[in-house]
Amino acid sequence: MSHQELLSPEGFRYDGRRCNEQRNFNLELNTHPHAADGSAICSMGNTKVLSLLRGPTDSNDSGLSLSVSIIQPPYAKSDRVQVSKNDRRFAELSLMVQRTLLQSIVQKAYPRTNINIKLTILSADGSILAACVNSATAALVDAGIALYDTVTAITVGIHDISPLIDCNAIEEIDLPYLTIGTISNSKINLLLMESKTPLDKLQKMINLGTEGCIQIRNQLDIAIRKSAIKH
Amino acid sequence: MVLSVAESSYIYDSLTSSNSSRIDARKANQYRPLNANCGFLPNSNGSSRIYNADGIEIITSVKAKVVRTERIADLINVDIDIHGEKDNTTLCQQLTTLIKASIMDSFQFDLLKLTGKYYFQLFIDVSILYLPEDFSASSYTLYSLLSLISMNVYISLKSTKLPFLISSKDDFDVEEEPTFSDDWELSKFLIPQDSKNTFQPPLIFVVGTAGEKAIIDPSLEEEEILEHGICLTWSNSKVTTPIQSLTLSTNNTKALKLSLISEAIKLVKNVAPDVISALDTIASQESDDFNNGF
Repeated sequence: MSHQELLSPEGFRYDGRRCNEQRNFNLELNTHPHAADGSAICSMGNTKVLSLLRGPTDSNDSGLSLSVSIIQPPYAKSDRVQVSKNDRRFAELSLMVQRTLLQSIVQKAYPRTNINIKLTILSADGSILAACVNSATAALVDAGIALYDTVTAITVGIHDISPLIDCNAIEEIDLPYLTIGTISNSKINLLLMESKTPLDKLQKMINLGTEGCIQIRNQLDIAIRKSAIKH
Repeated sequence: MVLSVAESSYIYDSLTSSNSSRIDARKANQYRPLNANCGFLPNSNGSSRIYNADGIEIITSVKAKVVRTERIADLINVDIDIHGEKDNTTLCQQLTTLIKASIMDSFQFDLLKLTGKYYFQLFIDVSILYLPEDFSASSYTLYSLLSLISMNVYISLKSTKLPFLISSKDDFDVEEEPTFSDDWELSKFLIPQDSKNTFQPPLIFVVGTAGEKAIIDPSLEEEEILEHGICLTWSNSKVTTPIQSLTLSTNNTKALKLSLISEAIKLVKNVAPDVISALDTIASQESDDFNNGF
């Protein structure tokens, strides 16, 4: 994939989207009422993350202990790859999801409590961290855990001067990108960037990302209301 | 699950008495309710999900890859991952071997033949996402998942679609890599749906026995009092190998009477056509929208 093909001169991306166009976003709450206390499945394009939350349960620690584990089955990517259970990258990602979520939970309401979130990446096509955060937030809401507000996340890549929202796997390989998560519409809660970009482009990416997070938040809101009516 | 003496003798006696009844009022050949659907993983050739009211959740994906091989045994790979269990436990390996053996025994390998030199290699990945707490007490009870896993594999194999080959089938003379049509509308089912006489994937049934009685799909409570478990494979409308005895619990195990094997075979012959037709209905309900799976 050459750099040029990722964004055509007419402003279309490889999969036909515009720069500021998200992939098909779908969120469903309470998908596994018997298996978990809170469950949700979040799909952003072909990325699909299922989260199963167990808790709140008793724990011996004084405060709230939130454990997050991310599993990627071998069939998640388009080529079959076996990921070991203690893969470092996923351990790092789960730590990031855990830190992001901890800030949004009303911790004083949960002393000596254990909450366990298991994220399964059923299908991976870019924006894994963002999908994990969105899915886990929805599971927290579904389980009825007290939150200050919902955290939503999205990725933004940059192609020369134009920032591209919600990158897919092909774009993530070639372009520098960041994952941004916001709470209460504009407060940044999560920011991860693993590649190099000129500093002057960063603000542009963050601006588009914040915007995208608000969009996702609205969709999350709709999904929560829909599930509340259903049950 | 630990049952008291009174509880277990009640379950055992009501099962083996002349007016036999199971504690959940099922018939000897009746399954517990199950839900299943298929075709929700965009990155897999075939996928299916099966879940029941206990919360057991199993997802299977079938992925195909083009390989150039002479070894038929390499063409089918099975991998089972159980929530909370390590990959290399005896249980995982035994389940994997049983499922793989049942598929290999009856598989029609020319369905995988692509051209003179190339074959499709299938990767069947089963992940058991959730098991109720009761299961963790004894790993023996996990053998009862065998029939659920095999149903799941059945549905996903039936719903597996492979891309349409546009290069020539005969490549012995010309060095050519197989090329496929970009149009997924042209894709074909791995197992043709219309013709009746092609191969059907095998199904494994778990039958429990107590006294003179054989029951299908034993529940956790029933497993505690069963004297023996038998797994039987049903493929192409007959009972085939592997037929194997299973230890479903360690409490009440006794030697297996030979007559019970034929009893179990009779039971499976009785239920299998219904199970197959139910699973076929699910497999034929194709979802165009990947979001519908959950």
